[in-house]
Amino acid sequence: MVFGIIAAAFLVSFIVYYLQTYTGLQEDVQRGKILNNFEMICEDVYLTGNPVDFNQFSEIKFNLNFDVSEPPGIVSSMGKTPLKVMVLFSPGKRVFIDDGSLDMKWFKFRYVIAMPRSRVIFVPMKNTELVWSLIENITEHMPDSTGFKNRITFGFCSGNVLKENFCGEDGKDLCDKKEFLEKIKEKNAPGFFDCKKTVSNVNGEYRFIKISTSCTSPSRGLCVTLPDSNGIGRIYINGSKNYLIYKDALDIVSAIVGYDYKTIYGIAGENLYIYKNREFSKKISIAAEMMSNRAILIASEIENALRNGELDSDSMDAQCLPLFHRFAMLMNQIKSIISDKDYYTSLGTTITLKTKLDEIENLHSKMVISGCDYEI
Amino acid sequence: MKYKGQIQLMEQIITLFFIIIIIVFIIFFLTVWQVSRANVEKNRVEQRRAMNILKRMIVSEYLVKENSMFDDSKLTSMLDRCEDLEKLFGENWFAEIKIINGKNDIPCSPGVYDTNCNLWTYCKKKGNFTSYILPVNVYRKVGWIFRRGIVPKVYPAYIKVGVYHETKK
Repeated sequence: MVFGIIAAAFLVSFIVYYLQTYTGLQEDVQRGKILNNFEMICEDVYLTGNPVDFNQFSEIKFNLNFDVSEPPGIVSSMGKTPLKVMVLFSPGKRVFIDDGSLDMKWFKFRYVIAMPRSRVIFVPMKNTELVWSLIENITEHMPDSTGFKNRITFGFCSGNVLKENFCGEDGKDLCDKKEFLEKIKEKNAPGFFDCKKTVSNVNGEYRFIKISTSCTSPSRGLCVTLPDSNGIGRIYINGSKNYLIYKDALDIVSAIVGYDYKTIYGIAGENLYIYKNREFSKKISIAAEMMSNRAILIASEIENALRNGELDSDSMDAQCLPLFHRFAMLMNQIKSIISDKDYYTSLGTTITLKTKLDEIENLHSKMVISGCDYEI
Repeated sequence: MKYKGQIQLMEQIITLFFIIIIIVFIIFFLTVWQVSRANVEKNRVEQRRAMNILKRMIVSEYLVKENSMFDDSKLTSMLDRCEDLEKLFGENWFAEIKIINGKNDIPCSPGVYDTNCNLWTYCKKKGNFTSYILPVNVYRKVGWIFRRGIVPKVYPAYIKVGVYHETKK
């Protein structure tokens, strides 16, 4: 009798322990599969450009964070899942995934954005062309959720007026990217004062972006200064002591996607901004090296043809020769500027980089018009 | 009647023995099942990776003029840059792009614009691999028209991308 009880107790405790371990293991397997699916879908979106609603994070309890340290990736109870393509990720149970690119004419810096249902609210503090142009530029690089459930919508706020429902056939629906870009042309914000409207933001849907000539650390969301003559401005994030320097719309978009949410790795907006700039440095330095080699290769071929009398010195291709040499030189300069790991933290370096990038863009456009090269 | 107690104890021990055997068998079965599933998954991941690198290469601005059309000057410029390519596509893979012109393989060399070469190879090493092949085009500037300009031509080609099997260290 006593033996039977001891044996039964031993058996039951062993089975319970095993089942607990096995169930935990199965849950981890499921989490791993969901993370793999997410990574795979992000790659598919990157390749095909077809946006996707991803709802699998809602199937099981997840605690997700984004870690920018090498290799950058999503951290969960399963450890770190490194990302093969650049994904600006903001965690949520249901996320919308879309792709985009920063077009520099000679190179397209491509990215994917994965973020939960969000309402991006612009707070313009002035009614000028520069303000509207900046809002348009930011919106163009945001995901387009038209026709999807996990919507990323856009609106305005001024004083106590929150203007969100002014799209759709009856003009009462929320605005997705495309419709909002159309509405921006009307330049019709409810006003140009700071947003005082209090919203219940339990789901973290609202993202307030103040656009002003000068900013200090905002009490909520982001404050973005207008770009200077070089196209450079500053981003201030609520809770952050430092400001971030922006040179393109994607710098601002990365801060919007992360927003002012606090994570174990710091402020999400700041982290995604760092991630974007590190990836930018990695990709641009490889592209600059390749384009410089290519320009030298083509230039030497033209020089050979001129030397051998296969090409007339007044021909179109001969006219391309100095352009290719200049292009190769500028590419080498870009490579050297961007080789500084923290190039994006210095205003001087950012100005130099931006000036060179603009110069390359102009030169490449000239080369395309002259028939020396093609547009990507 | 004398041994009734011992018989009952023996019955319990034998029953317990069989129960333990069944439990051990179930645990063994579940573990083997998990391991085999993990192996199948590993192969699937390898195949998916090869296909993914292939798909990313045919749209990569580092190599193409437009989707599925490689630019020979870009291909030549990236020839000795395996380390850079690994930063873009990950490690442990190789790629070959070959113009289909009925000629034997004439490997292209880095830094030399040779319009006769027809094979570009990246990151190739010895080892077993899983690979995929896809037909593509190569855009090439082949010569000069009446001493006035370049003649670009598009050649049929294929791209082969392989992922090396992981070897146990």
